[in-house]
Amino acid sequence: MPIIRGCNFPDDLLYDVPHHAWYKPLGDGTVRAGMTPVAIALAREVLVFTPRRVGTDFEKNRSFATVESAKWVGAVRAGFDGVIVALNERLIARPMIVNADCYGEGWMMIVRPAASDWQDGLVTGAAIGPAYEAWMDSEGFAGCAA
Amino acid sequence: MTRVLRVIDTGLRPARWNVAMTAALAELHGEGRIANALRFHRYPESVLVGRHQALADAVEVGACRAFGIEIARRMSGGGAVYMAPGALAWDFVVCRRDVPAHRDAANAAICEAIAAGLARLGLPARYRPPGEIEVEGRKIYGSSGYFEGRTLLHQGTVLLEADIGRMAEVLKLPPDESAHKKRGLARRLVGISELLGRVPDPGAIETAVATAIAGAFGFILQTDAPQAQEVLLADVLFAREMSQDSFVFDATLPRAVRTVAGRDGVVSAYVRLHPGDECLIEQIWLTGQFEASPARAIADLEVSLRGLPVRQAAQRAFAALSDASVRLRGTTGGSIVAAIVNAAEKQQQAGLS
Repeated sequence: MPIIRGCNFPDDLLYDVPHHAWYKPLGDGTVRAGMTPVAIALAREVLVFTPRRVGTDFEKNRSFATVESAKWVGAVRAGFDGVIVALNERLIARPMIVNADCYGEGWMMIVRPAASDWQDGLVTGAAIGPAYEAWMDSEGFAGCAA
Repeated sequence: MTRVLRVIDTGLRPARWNVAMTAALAELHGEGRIANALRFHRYPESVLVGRHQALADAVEVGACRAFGIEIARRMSGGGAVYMAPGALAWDFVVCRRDVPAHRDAANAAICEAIAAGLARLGLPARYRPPGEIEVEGRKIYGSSGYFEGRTLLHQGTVLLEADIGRMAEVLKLPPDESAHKKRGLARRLVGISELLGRVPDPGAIETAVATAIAGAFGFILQTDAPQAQEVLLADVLFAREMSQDSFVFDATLPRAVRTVAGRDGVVSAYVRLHPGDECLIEQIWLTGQFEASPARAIADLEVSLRGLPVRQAAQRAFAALSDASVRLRGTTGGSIVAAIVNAAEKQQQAGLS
């Protein structure tokens, strides 16, 4: 699993690098979505997690959830078009679990992509490390522990 | 390399359009399509609620309707504010790499710069963490923020003239101030005109603030007009989302937050329990429509409760808040303790479900 500047990226997931979201195909046509450690580092302590409702269509690059941390709000943007199928109710009730476990208990939602080519533009496997290194360099991102 | 800060002024526009313009700037900047920018703008009489705030807890909706006052929902967090032409607002949208890396440090540096700019106008303005500026203990500036990816958006408002009376009518305030609502607000807030003894020139304030921000972060100022893509996206977001009553009135609320509203005011407690032992408090944050003196009392309390079992934390909080050296305005120690306990219980229930 690549660990870059203190941020870990399981290599079986697909990543939307600019929007700091991960996706995991569930085998039934749906996809689990969550925030990466980079997203958490940028958000800091997540006090509020507010996704769009189940059944809502979303578009690539548009917000499908927001988080809040002490008067600062951030958008979580989608990596492809789709519809929200289910939400992680525990995360809504306890947003701070995402700070401790963004790949496990802190997953955000399950979505159904609108098109079969939804993975286009996402990175996975050996491409993860170089993609995040490049992003961190360009943005001056110090690391997940900073 | 010379770094440019565009300075634009969109003047007086409806509240919900202003929110859409803020969102458009954040989105375009996040996509790398616009440079860093400082947008000055003003509002007609209106009330802005925070992105995730319970509107009914914060706004006298009936009074707003009676006065024809628009209600809008901000992109940024925090509480409700009354806006009017006597307030000057701005969005400072900036790359994270151009300000201190840590977001809280960046926000502090921005507020320090703005305070320094206002001080040049003859105001003994001082930054008060986390995001306010005050003069002799009275607030003249408040701020909140929005972020996504590479972008930070600091949103602030300075009071030129404070219409305390109207503010008291349209905002819900701590009930212990309800009988003297106006006097309570006047103790906490003040407009620059009252401090200077004259109505300040908004242009002079804009210049002072822009110059101070540019100096603090090494920008070259460039006066500009809003770009077509900015206005176009703002119009689209306005039509699609920010103008809709569903966006303003139907925000999904954070269920883990305990809000105590009633005789003792509004207190929100955010509690994170220890991942390995859900009886222990790992971290706690307290906010609400109240004030504590000394100002550090609540922050110190939050730190002192870390690692304690919930019941023991409640006892310590009650003891600390009952101390004669601590004065609360707008709530009581009992309400704060109730908020802590309730938030912890909700967290525990969610953890067991």
